[in-house]
Amino acid sequence: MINSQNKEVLLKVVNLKKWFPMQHGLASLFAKEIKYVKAVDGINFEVYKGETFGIIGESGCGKTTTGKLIMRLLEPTDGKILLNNEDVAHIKGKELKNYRKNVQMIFQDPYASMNPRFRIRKVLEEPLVIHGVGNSRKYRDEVSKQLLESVKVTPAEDFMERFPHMLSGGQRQRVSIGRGITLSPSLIVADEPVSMIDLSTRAEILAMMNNLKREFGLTYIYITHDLSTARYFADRIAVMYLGRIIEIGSADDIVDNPIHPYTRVLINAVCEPLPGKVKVMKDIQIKGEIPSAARIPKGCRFHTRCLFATEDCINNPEPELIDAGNGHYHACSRASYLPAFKY
Amino acid sequence: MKIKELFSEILDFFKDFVKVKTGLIGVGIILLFLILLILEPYILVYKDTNTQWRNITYWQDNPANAAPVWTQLFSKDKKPITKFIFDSETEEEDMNGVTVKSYIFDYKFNYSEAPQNIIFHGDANGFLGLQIFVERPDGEKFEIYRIAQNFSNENIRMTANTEARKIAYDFGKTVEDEQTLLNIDPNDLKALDVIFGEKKTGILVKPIPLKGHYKIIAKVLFLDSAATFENPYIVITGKVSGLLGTDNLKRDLFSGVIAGIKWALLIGVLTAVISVFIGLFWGVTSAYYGGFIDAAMNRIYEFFINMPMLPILIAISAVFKINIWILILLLCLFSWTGSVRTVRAIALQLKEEVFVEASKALGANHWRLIFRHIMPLILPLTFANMAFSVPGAILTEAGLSLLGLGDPSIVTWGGILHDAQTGGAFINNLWWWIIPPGLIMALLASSFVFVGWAMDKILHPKLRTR
Repeated sequence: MINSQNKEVLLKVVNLKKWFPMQHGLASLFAKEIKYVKAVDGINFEVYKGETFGIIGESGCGKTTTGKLIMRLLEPTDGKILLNNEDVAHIKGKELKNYRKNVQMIFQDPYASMNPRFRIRKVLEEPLVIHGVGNSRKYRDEVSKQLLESVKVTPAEDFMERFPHMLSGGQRQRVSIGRGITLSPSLIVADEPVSMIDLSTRAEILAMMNNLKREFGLTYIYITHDLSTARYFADRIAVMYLGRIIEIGSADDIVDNPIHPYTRVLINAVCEPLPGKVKVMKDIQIKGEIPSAARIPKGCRFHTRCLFATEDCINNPEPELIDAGNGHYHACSRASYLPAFKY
Repeated sequence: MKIKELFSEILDFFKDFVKVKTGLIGVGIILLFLILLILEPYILVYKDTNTQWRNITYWQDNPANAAPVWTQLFSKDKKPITKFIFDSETEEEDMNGVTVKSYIFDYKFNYSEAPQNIIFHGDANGFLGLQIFVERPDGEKFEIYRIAQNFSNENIRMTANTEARKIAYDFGKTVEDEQTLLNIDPNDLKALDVIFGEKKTGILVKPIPLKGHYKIIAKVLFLDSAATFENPYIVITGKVSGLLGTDNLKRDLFSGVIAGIKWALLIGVLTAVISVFIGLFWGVTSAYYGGFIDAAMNRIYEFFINMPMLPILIAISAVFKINIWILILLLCLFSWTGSVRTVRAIALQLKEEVFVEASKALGANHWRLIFRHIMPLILPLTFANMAFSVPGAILTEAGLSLLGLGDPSIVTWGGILHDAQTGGAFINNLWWWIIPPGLIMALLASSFVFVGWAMDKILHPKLRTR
């Protein structure tokens, strides 16, 4: 268990926002007011050095956007991203390029994340070429081979000359992870790295990622919608709903002792393939559909789906994160009135 | 390793390609053209066609407006073929102190039409008198040419002239009745038809050729003791010539058509490649950057696509003297738009691909993303476009040349057609002047279209299944 008091903060995200305008170009000149899709709507969290920080939530909650903002594939609308206390939210050019040496990303779809025309050699070499590391081809080949060995795609020589489509999904994701660690970054944003991998190899890949973490001193931000792998893999978990973090805490606290009604629903929704329970329809304590990020509900943004919401939840301003002790925070103003959580 | 890789890719492409028959036909025709192009120096009957096309004296020994030789295969009446005679018997005599040399050339005439002309060549120097006679099988003898002049070491060329026409008319007069003679204008007479005609009524109207052994005698009078005359030969120009006949300026059309291949290919291929690459660059850049750049680039593209190419090209080439390179540049200026829309559409799709984002996350700059990731994936798809834009370029150039606005210093098919139009090929039924250049143009253009179809079939499904 990571004790937040003693830990060095690697990444700090302050009031981060990403609003996508719905009108572009000339249309925006004539629009009465520009509407935004508020994909990420003011989030705060810290990631400590050497930990695995999980971000979970359903599709469209803004977790991938958060990942891309941290990776700076998108420029935030507002807020700060502090890596080692330096704000990288709006850096450009050379600074951004250097930042990318420090922060890398692993993408969800191993089938799409490699240029189909590139051989594995070229895929692995690309970061070296881009950053001008090692001028000789021999050196790059050596590095690529070592990388393949460390992500356990062996024998390395056999795979160097293959095209991505000649590899299995798991192998491809390993190569993709290898490409991510080529420049020895300090932070890796892993955006659902195992969601498209066969169930049988998921654990293997996650275990390998854990090994790499120890070996290279990495820090992961693990973005997923899958609570079970998040609990297995992450040290701390943040739960996102409609662009906000609604609960954050250690993985065990979140799973064993969830406070926010939404987190409870997420945990209850995990399938339990137990004999005799297969056909039991679980009572999931939620109603309706996730609202559009373009029209975020007034007050607590979860009230439209919450079974415990009152008038106050609608009328009062949105609650900030409330400390529940032991580094566990939640955003439910009625937490103390909720029934005890049970599976 | 790279070469091996490329080779295997080409092999794969070829394996698909042979399945499409139209493509094979197209490639076959293009290969044929390429072979012709490589063998041009050997095939050209007149080796200096490329440089001497507009030089009338280079072609002077050919018959004018002559049909192709092979047309003889289909007719009973054999027309005379151009013949060079170098062998002659030499007789020397002394006439009042003047040396007279007679060169006697034998000519076996066995055709159903008289030859077009008799041309005498020789290297002359000094003060010389020259007389050329034709001695017929029936013993009649005509003087068709006579001159006395001081030459200064030059190659001289003598043909039957107006004098010969007068002599022929006088000869015919003796056998025609008065009524016929009234209807004949001596200036319209073809001297050689009469000279090679049977001596009987109708010789001036519809001469019947007199077959047999003719002698052409050239008498050279050395009027000056230092005068010399060497290398005499005669050319008896026929009524048929070469594989594709001749035009009104006596140019060999086969040589012209063969010499035109390289220009057609050059214009077509260069224009296609350049304009497709510009289009590729334009489409990808515009799609990649998006926003204002995309909008601006699209407006420029729309400006060019809406410009009427032919009128503007006509205006430009009428005002300025254009050569082939400027023409190619102008053609590129108007035809790069062809592939932009497709390329942009594919690039819009590709730039959102995860691997592009992944490369961006690695720190790749715009150029790397455009040139390494997006363009190489679109390039194969533009090959079809390339093949399709070759015929357009060839035909546009031909159109301009047909209007007389092409590059006058080269031999192009359009130029030949332009000459055919102005030379009255249509009126005079000189089909060999019009059909071969037109046909070969259509053949080359369609071969590229065939290849384009085949590439379309092969390359486009790959886009979907990639």
